[in-house]
Amino acid sequence: VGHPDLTKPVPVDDPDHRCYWEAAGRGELALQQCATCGEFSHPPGPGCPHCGGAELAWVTLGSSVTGVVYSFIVVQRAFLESFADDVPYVVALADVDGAPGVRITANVLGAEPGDVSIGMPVRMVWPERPGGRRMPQWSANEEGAD
Amino acid sequence: VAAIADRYAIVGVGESERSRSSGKSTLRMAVEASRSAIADAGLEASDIDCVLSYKHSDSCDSHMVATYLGIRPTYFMDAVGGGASTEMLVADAIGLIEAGICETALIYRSMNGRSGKRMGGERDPDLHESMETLIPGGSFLVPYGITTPAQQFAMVANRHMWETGTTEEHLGHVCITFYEHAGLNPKALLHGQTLTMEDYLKAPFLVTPFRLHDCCVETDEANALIVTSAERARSCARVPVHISGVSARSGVPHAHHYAVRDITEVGGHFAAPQVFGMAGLTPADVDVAAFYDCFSWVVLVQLEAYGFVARGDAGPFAAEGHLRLGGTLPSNTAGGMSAEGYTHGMNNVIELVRQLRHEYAGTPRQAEDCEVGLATGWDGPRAASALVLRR
Repeated sequence: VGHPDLTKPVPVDDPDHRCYWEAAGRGELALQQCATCGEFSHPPGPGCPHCGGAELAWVTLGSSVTGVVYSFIVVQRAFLESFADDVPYVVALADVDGAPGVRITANVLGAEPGDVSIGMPVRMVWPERPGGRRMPQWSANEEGAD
Repeated sequence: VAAIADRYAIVGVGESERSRSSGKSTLRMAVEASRSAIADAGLEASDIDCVLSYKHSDSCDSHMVATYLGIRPTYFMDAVGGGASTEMLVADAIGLIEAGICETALIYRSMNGRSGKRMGGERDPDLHESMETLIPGGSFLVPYGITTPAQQFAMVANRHMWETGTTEEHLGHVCITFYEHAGLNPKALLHGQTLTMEDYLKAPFLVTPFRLHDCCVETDEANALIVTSAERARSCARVPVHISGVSARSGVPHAHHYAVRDITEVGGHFAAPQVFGMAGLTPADVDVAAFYDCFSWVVLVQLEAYGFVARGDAGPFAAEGHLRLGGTLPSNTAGGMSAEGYTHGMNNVIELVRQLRHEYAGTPRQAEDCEVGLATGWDGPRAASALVLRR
């Protein structure tokens, strides 16, 4: 049984990732895009995984972000106490619409595990966690993909 | 590369006792396993001039192991290669010997994997930290509740199963087969424990699609093996098992596996042409196999990646009994990590060596007429290592 004072792990502070999480704090999705080949990449890093290019720009996709579930898991047993009250919980890997090649891993909030499926449209939300941290999350997108 | 094929051999294998509670230091177990492997080879400790280990969790330092074997190593190294470490370290040993740096290498893995530092079997407060820092892109997973390898690999398994039509019963057949093999191995942790499909399907999910039996056991034990040149192997005590092909450690195009375009493409897809190419053999030539089996599904995806079956055919292949002793590709014949023991795959390699020596001749455990074996390592879906061994 989880304890109410247990906070979930937060992303380690990595200078290569900071723009992504800072944008999340504003309720926006920011992604790296290569100045050489034009490909998006995620997770962010010090070079382009597609061409090795060294010049990458941060591009914001704003707060209206949709995606499609590529795969997902239903966790029935938590291995960290801080997730114990959440089981069963869903983690989905979803393709981001408008950013070819980018997939983002997040929980699917507000959906019963049995309702989540591959191909399901999702919408990005940025709820606050205890402690005030905002992170990108998915929620079922009833309106379908934009 | 062809110049390397069959010029090196595994000449000794050994292990400490296997248990859930060793009451011993990992250093003591490593020394015991090493002495056993040295004796198996008919060597003296002083013949060893190189000590290599996979040092993660609570393992011990290779210089310490050398110290308590009473030898001074010319070269020693503690690597972190995950479940791809054993085959990788064999490849490293070949390179070191080939370069003239040393002559005979001892490779070990020691862990109190059940009583000491567990890999994710319980709510380990340190685990999320190691996942965040050890797994590339880990801090994009851990805050969302992907905190163990089971959860991390399940994402890939679910997509693969959805694309190929692989079923939960298919996973069950892998488990049942390896539990049967453990029944022939008195030293297997789960020796004597039978598993039926009904039992398998009744067990609750830990994370879809993995139930209890899909996950490997956790054990306290050390394993060791010895690599030297084919010339020196001729004067050793045992039938040498030659190393015909090596894939030291091949990665997919992105270290964060979820960023690969097709996440069902795993390290083995890249290791396969390398290991078979060097050996000049094909999957059809393999008589006995040791597939990395941290989770049952990992065996199925590797059967496809290494070309034993077409994509989507691994589940039916397991269901038809091909992986069983007496089948066309007897695999994990000691019970594997599923049911024998867990040293990140080294126990599977040791069993493969013993099969190729025909140590079980005349018993049901012997894979009949086996001459060629494949061992695979898996450092998550992102990296693989492999050996083709030949009697």
